[in-house]
Amino acid sequence: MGDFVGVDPDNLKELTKRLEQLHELLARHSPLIQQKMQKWGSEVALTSLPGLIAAALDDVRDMDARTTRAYELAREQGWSALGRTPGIPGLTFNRPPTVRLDWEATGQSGNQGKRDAQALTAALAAKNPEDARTTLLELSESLRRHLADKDHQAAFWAEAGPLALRAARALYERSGSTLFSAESVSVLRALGASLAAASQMRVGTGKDRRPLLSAATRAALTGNSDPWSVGMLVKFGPEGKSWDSHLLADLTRAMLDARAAGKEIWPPARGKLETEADASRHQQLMAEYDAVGAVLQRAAENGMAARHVLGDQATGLKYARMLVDDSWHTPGYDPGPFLSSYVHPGGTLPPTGQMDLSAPTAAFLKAAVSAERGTSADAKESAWSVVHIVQATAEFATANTERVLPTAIRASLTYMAARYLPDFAMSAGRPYGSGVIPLGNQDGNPWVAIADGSHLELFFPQALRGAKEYATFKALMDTRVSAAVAATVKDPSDADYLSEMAGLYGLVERTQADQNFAEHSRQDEQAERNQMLLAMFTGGFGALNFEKTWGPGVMAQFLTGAGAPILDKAIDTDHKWKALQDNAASFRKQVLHVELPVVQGLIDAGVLHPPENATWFVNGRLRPDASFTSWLSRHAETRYGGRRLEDWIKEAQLAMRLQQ
Amino acid sequence: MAVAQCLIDHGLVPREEVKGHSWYKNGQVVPDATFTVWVSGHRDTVYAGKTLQEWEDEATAGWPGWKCPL
Repeated sequence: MGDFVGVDPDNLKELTKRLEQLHELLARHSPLIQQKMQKWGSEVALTSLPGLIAAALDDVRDMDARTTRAYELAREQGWSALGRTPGIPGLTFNRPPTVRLDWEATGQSGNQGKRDAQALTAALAAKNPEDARTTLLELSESLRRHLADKDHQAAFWAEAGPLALRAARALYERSGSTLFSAESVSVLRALGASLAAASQMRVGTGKDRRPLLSAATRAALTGNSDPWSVGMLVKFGPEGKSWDSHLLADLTRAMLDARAAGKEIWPPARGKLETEADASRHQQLMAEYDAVGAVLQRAAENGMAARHVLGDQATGLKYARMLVDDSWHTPGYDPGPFLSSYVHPGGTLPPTGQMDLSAPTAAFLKAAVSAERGTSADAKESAWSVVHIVQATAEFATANTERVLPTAIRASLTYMAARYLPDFAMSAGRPYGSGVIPLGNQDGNPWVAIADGSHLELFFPQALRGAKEYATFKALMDTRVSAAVAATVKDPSDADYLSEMAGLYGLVERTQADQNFAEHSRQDEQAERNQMLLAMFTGGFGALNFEKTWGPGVMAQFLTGAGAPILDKAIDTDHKWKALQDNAASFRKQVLHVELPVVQGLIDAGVLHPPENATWFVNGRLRPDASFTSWLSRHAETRYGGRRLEDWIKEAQLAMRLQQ
Repeated sequence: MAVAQCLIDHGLVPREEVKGHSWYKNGQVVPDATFTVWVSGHRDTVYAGKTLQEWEDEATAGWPGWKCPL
């Protein structure tokens, strides 16, 4: 402090510009410089180059802050960039006078952060739109330049936080075809990017380590005073992975709470809606600038944020109930006022013109159950999300027997059921409560989601609709049979994953029978299942690497269910196999369905070793042919993994509900 | 649940095995999610000549009149 020097603002500006160019040049070419020098065997140590380049950027920021302050001082002294010179008509450019600047104090970019905060205040309060526009563009530029600058971020958000959170409402255009001008969009983008970057920053060390954004700023973000504006910062801000997962989770909760409490979550209506076209356009605007959807979308992109929300043991269920719902659309409008009095004498009509907004909700639900299976805290949150979503779906089904969830949401439910198939199989028929427990109830094993069996009974009729969805789901279950066989052999406990699959099949079949679809015959369904099964067997689903002993890694693989294709890839192009497919329907029925996954599962578990000269086993994958059929019939009585092959096949038939 | 109670009451499931489980309190089976996991891990365990699953199937078929036959 107190180190005053005389500077010429124009010269300082030029110097800053050159420094910035130099930094850019160095940053761009530094990898090449390092590479070339190394290649030439240079003895000059270049390891410190990246550090020096980063320091140069700090210098650029400091100089930029000083330049801004120098012009400010010049203006305070009565200088104006444009003025009148006696004897010359019109306006001329004036050079600023030399000013005295506190070099050290203004060199800190925190000052620039404070000044940016003041610029935002001025722009939002500006009477003259032209002034506001210029200020906003400069502000966006400064925010962009200081994205990675902690001092600037801390100063800006401490000062401008509450105002920035209301920026969208202050900036929207009262009329015209777009809601935001180009300058407004640019500043909302910059604010969003700045907030996202700040959310990931931490200050202090050790015990004192804490988020850069102050508790007050974070409280203002989630305080719901203007949820729509906050949502717009997130909408115009960067992709979900660029945000801190906990902040996005807090924002999601705040948005859902605001929505549930009936707070203003929609863009402001601009003037009276005179015609039906106006009303319909406003619905479109609501969909386009949907704040809740914007936050859900970013949290879904982030992934962990969605799991923090739904995987929370205390509050996850509450939010799952809000999400698993059929209310994800714009409110619609009363068409009454737009109808002639002859058609409609008066009174309120049911709303019309609603626009579907279920896509971000569905993406959020999907992300909430998408952690990698295993022993991590993330995997645990994901499993709790499953438990909560199943319960919320069961409750929705109980409360609204006639209502159906939006297609996108149902697709996420099916995705979840497929992803947690062994967990659902374990839970089917066991109405003993829900929870998240390590497999086998042994610490250190992967987390499994136990749903209450009675909830599952209500879950499936909501998730699956129509014969095609059932066929797809059953085909997917078929592909997991080989893993269930292998896991049953490998797991040293008395678990029987194959027969648990049978239980789940039974539940799904009952559900389907209750729904009583007339549009599809059983034969059609079987044909569809065959096709999907073949595609999945050859496309990379089913067979797992079970060579290792039964431990957390192998368990996680079994729970995930993804692995190498069961069938040899050559089969798709193999002419003989095609002929077999076309002609020998009975062979296909016999082989494709049950024996393949069973034999593959026993091979994976290391208890069945195909003969050396087998024509039906190539490169570790099955390639069924006529000799496979004859090998099967000769080994029906042979015991593998504690059971006769015939018994395994019978149990698998039961699991796949196939009558042969 | 009734099957598990029956097997435990008659000493077929060792006390040491059920002790400390959250679903076993004061000699009573009070099922929860960990009970589901326990049942799952003992599906093929044989008690008095029948697997736990066979016991369950019998009890389900005879419900609600099923009584512990031991």
